[in-house]
Amino acid sequence: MSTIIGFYLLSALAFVSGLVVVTTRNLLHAVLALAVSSLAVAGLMLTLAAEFLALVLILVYIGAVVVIGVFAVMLTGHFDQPLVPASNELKPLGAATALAFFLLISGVLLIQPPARELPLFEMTVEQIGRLLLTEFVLPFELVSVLLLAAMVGAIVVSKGKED
Amino acid sequence: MTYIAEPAQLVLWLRGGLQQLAVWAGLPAVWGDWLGTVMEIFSLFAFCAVLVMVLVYAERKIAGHMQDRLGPMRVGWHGVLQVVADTIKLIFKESEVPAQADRCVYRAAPYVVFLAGFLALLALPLDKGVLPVHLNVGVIYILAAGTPGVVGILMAGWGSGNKYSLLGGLRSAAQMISYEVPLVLSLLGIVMLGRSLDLQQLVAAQTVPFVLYQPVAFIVFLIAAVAETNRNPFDIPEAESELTAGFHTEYGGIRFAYFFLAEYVKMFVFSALAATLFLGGWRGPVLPGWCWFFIKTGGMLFLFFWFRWTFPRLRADQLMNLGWKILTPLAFLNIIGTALMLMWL
Repeated sequence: MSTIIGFYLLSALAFVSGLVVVTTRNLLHAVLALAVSSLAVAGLMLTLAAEFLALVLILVYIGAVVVIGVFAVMLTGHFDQPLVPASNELKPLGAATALAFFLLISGVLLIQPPARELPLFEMTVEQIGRLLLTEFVLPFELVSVLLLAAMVGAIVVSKGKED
Repeated sequence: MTYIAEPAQLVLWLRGGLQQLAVWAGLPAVWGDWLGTVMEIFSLFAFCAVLVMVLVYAERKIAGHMQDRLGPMRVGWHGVLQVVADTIKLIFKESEVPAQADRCVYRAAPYVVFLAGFLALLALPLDKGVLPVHLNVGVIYILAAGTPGVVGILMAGWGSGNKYSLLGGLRSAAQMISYEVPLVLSLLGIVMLGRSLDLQQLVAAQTVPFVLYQPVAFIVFLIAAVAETNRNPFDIPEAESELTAGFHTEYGGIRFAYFFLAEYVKMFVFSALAATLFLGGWRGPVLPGWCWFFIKTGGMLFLFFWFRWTFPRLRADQLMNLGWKILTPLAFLNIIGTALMLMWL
């Protein structure tokens, strides 16, 4: 019972703060709303007894993504002018992306409908660790290389040409 | 005094009593559990307030004696009531909002920072079987609970609408995310030795305190913890000669008090974490477990105070060099060393 109440409250919070992220004109408020949204999603994971995932979500999304977002807002000179237009000229493209994502999700749900009764896992950290180092070691390493390349790329792009 | 020696039983007894109370009042027994949880949260909050008062008094006294002064002496016996007087002053002081502030963000910031410290407190094992929330990923929980604090400090820096606050907030956040890397890495060696992320099990695994196996990790953790709490010699975020008071320049009254609370609670959390993971936590002879926990944590806190009056403040570039070029590689070497040791021993 309390899990269901928690689910609806947290979903509503995640949804509303997600709406704030895309509608507010104040960049900093958007980033902070993103933090609230991630917290709500982490809470949803807690109601599913996925403690480890919830904590990693908080560490990565609030500890890294949101903080870097705030830095970006502050360092790109929006301190005096925090208000920016909340929409751009790419509406058709946006609609297409949203539709594609919706189709993807519904496709996944049609192929594998959500199970009503899932076995409860104990010690999820151990299982995740084991899987990461056995079955999924190659994808895991590929993602790491991709992230590293992105990081090096970002440094090269932002540094510009030396004269 | 057996009932004090076993606080775990006391907690269980109280919980059982609350359940019976709920049943007696004609309510489901779960309500008793909820009531117990609410009471635990309130008592932890009270614990925070009292703890911070004791720490502030201890710090001012220790600082005084290290500088050949007496410290607070006027209010009460040897100044013990000074902190109470200061607290009353802070509570009744008007806390205004600057005209140029981003009002919502400005108001929320102190509570975000405080909550981050307070939530971390929930998972500390005070004694065998005594911790408010038992998690099998306690180590990650404490690290994750602290992360919203960075956002809170950035909110304060931005929300104040003041250049000193903004610079202080940015410096502080940059410092905290830089030092989080060696901090987390230094704990990995412990996790590998104890084969668990559960703080209770990690304490139980320490027949010999882990500091003897992990001296390098201990030093890295200690330095990173001082930097994470923005204290001397890593207090450039609030360097008064450059930034007046950094991110909390514009704050006064009760909102300032929450920043203050947060700083000391965080210091306590890191000291307690060091005591738990490196010094054997509640393990120790003769005295009950919680005594050992507080003795070890107190020793770590004394180190924090001692640092403040021993080392001069680092420059911003020295700080980043130390974090990224010395501590992080050291922590990585420590992990490799620990792995090799575990393989061959």
